[in-house]
Amino acid sequence: MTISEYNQCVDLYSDGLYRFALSLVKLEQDAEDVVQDCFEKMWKKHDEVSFVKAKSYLFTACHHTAIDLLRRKNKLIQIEIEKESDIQENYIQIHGKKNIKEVLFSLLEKLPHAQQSVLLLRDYEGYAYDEIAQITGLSVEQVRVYIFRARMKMREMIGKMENLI
Amino acid sequence: MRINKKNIHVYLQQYHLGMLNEADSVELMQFLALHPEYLENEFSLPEINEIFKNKKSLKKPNEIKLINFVEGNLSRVEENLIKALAENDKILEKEIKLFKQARLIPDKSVLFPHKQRLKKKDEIFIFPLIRWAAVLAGILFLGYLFIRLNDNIFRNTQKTTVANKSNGVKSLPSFTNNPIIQTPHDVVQQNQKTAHKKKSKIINSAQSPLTQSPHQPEVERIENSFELTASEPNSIASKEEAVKNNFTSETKISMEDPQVITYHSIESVPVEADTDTSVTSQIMHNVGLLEKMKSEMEKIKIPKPVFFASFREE
Repeated sequence: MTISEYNQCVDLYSDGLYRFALSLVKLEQDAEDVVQDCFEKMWKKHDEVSFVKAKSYLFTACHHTAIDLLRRKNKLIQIEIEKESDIQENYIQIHGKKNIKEVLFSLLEKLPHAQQSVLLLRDYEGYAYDEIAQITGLSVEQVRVYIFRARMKMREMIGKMENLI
Repeated sequence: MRINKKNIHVYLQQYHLGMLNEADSVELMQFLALHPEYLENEFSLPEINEIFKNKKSLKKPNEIKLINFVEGNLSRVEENLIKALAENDKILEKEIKLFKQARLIPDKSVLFPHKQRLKKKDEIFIFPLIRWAAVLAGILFLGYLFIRLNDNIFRNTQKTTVANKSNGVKSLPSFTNNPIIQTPHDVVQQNQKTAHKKKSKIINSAQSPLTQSPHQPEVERIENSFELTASEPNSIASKEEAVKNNFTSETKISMEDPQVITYHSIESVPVEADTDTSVTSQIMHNVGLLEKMKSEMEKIKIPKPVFFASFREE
């Protein structure tokens, strides 16, 4: 990868990568650090990483870096525990939300971290199941199941919200 | 029992059409057991082999199907079937709408603020070029210094040789009028001979009260240099060292320069019109004059004292 190709990658993927990281780590400062770290990693291996595979490399690095960051901050422990009460809490919180988007993102925070990554890669970047599996290190079947579960929960939340309205 | 001889044919017809529920079917079977004559007539039960082919059209798509529909994982035929069902089924239509809403839509207004900080500049690749250019410039400068130094030394050697020739002096074992040597061993021998001759002459003339000259300190310096070269005449190694000490600068540089490595004799050096005399050549000129004076003084006969002669005569 040449310098111009690398700079092109910055222009093309940094925004998407930042949104992905921000959705995972929640804090802007952390998301900026994650994005910067990813590009630095790619630059160190710019002889090995081709321009075609740069996007996949960046999102893989971002996924792992964000998980490491969350683990360091002990956030992952809280997120991984899936409880029915979470759904109930969200159901109660729906009253305070303005629109469906906010409801979905509040629900996203309650999902297990792997499901969050899978869902974000699918919806934000439009990756196929096998590509998501490659980025996250999961199997294709796992990706399919995670997406199915996430969609079911979201549909449930939106349904309850509409019934309330 | 509701079934009797009057309505048995209705029950049998409904049973054939599959419209009887389980309770009615059981009751019909009990009635036929009591009245087997109805089994033998035209209302006897036929075998039902026909299958309803449009079951799929009646079934409602499950959630997995709907999620795959929203995700775009279904074939075109399946997608069209669900779309057709959704057009006639409002509940299904609403379900599809909910699943479509359950997708995260990125906020495109959120942008990474430090793109310029991430970008790499071309200076990274220019820096090595500058470094190589600096190394090349250094090599060229050193080469220039080397050539210049060689050139100066060669010119100085030529001047000294010409000056010596103009004063009639072939060689002297000093730094200022050093002949261009053929080999180090030859230089040792030549210098040894010349040094002994000139040393005796200069010392004799310098010690004489009649030959005191303003260049007396220079004579002493030359004497010292003689002692450096010929202090141990029997030791060749010490002579070579002495010669090296005296000709250090010329010997080393001439070994590096191929033009000087080709040794040549004093006669081969081109004679220049420059008659500038060095201090040593002036001293040697004075030495020549002193030698002339000495020879003339020897010619003069001094008469013996008279009283000394008379005493002897007595």
